[in-house]
Amino acid sequence: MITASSFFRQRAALTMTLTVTALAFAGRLPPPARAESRLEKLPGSLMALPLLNGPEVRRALADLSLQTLPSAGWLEDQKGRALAGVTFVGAEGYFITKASEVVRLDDCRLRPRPGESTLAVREIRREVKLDLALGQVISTSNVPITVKPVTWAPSAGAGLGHWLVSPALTALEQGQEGVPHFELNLGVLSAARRPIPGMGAALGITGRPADKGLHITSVAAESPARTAGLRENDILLEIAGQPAPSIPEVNAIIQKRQPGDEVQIKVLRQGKEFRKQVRLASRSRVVANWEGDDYANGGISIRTDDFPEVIQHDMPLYPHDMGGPVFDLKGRAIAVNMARADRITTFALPMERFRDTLEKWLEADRHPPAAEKVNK
Amino acid sequence: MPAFSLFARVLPLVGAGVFCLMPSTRAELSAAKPLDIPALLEVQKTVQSQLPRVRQSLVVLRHGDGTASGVIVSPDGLILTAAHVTMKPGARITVVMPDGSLQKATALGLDEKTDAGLAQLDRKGKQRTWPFVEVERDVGKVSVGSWCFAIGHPGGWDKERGLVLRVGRVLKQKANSLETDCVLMGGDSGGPLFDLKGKLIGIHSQILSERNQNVHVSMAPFLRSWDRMKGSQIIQTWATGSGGYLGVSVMRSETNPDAVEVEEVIPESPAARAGLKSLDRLLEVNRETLIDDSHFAAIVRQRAPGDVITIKIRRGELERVLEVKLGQKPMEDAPPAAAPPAPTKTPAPAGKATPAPKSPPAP
Repeated sequence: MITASSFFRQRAALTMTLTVTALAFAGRLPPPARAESRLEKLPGSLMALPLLNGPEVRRALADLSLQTLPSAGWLEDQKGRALAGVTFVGAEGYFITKASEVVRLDDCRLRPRPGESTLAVREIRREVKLDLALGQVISTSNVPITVKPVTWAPSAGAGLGHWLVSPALTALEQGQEGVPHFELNLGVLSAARRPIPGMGAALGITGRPADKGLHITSVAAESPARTAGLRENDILLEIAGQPAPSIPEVNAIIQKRQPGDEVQIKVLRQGKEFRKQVRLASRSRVVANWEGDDYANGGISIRTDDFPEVIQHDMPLYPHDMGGPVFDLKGRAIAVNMARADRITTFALPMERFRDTLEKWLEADRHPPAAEKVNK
Repeated sequence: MPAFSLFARVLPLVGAGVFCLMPSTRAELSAAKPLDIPALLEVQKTVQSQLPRVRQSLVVLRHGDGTASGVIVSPDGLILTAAHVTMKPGARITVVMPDGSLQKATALGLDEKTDAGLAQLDRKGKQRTWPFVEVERDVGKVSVGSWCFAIGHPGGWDKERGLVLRVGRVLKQKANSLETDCVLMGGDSGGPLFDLKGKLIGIHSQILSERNQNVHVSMAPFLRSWDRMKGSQIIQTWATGSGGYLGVSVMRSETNPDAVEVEEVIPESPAARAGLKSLDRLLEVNRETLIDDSHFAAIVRQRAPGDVITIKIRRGELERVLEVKLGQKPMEDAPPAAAPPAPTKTPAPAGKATPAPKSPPAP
């Protein structure tokens, strides 16, 4: 019900204005209050907003979905949480995914589509430079598994404003029944192709030297340190087995590693020592989103930079969709989704950048060098 | 001045209240042929054909610690942007042109409540002309569901990346704003939203937490106060109530979800004086059939205090047409009489403009 007093009042749910301020980066502004969505409260008929990715476009993409979705799926961890998308690249069950989102491929299960059972997978190769991993689904019966690989097409023909589609997984809310949605989302190629230079990895802490280690003075929002449960006033004793009593020393250890790498840390809190595994993330995003005012909607990827070339697009995707294919409206794959970087930015790796490497990997796995015969 | 003549025709239209807002969108959508891939490719072709032209008018505005966007709308360098970008008349702003070269501009007037702001590129000795985009002067041409595209410099100027394009649709239309699913981010503020003809229909203003909640200032507040904002005034007319004030709350009928009913009438309000009563069913405003409650709110708030509107109602079995003179919304913490009428004709120099009302400023 709308009350008389609220009727003409400026919407209270406003508002984050859209200038970027240096202050925010310096961390002096408080994080903005999360605006409450008004949508849930409105009557059903008002919820039918004419969204770009709404029923009309879904109908328009129905045939394209049938054609393309069988060439995609996603990886889950042992608890059934979605980790990353996959792109099928060989009929024998070969797929590629985003390496940094999947620490150990062999620990994952692959779900080809909602409602179907998951499949075991094995890891074949991974390549840090491209942030790609090659895997294969393993048949546990005598029947070999065959999949429909994507059809690659050069990405060079896609310019600014070109429509693109990608599979997007909308996971179930907690306690929600049924199967998740796995459907094509539509967007445009939204900025110039370019390399994204690497800025290294980060933990997401500031601190000062203390008696026994590093006294943590702040923990960045959505950072590896936050995910690992670190808090202000914890004392960081060790990273990867080495003492790191100052920020330069922390950086020296971390800069030897890549976003996505795991390191063990030893922490002292209220007289108790404990150890934690932490997965490092890209420094550029941790710093830019220090106060958590990024409004990325669904979060950002662990690794968001250090790519030789990217295609940027505006499709509404999530970090767990990275690794899935980017198709043109003819259903040809031109790239693989690589990173959700912020609210408006998703990077994809154009096929030209990995096609040759991928062919070599597949060839090597299909035809391993024969064992040499031992002559008597 | 060229920019003035561009808009002169519209201002009286706003005042006379013959503004046609929101054509009946439901009919329009259902009448359109179903969307298919060729139709999508047609949208792509249109956006791609407009882009090389409109991007020439997109600029980065640097002011204080912030970076934002803006768009040039006249050959002599008038820039439309957001009020929270320019912040105060007379402020000096650094402008990054599409080729990366730097210019200077001065903030003109602004409307804090609606977030509409203007700036003027410095005129140097030799008069040069700037590439500019055309403002859609008929605000009613924008309808819910129509295609649109946004450009801007989110995060600031990035030579390698350049501008960022987003394509979406108009999801909601309100008195002073549009909401779209062109996803915006910090740095986009003040950037342009276009229709498929490449005409300017919005200025990026705010986001809410959901991806589909991206708010743009519509052209209405700009057109309404064009001359005064150009005269470096701070607009206050709309500050107290975002437009004409009726003094009712409306709701969807509990018995018929397609009907709009009066929920409550505030005593001594314009609505009460005109005889509106609780549970009156609202049929038409100015002979325009109502679509829903938000449509009604938009129509009322689109108009200025003092405008007369006709409302066709049904009460029981009887249909009646009421004439209502819209008022100005009373200040919440002051008696209505204390709200002074805003200055209309005399442009005040920047330094002497009355201070903005003490409403919470945009962060």
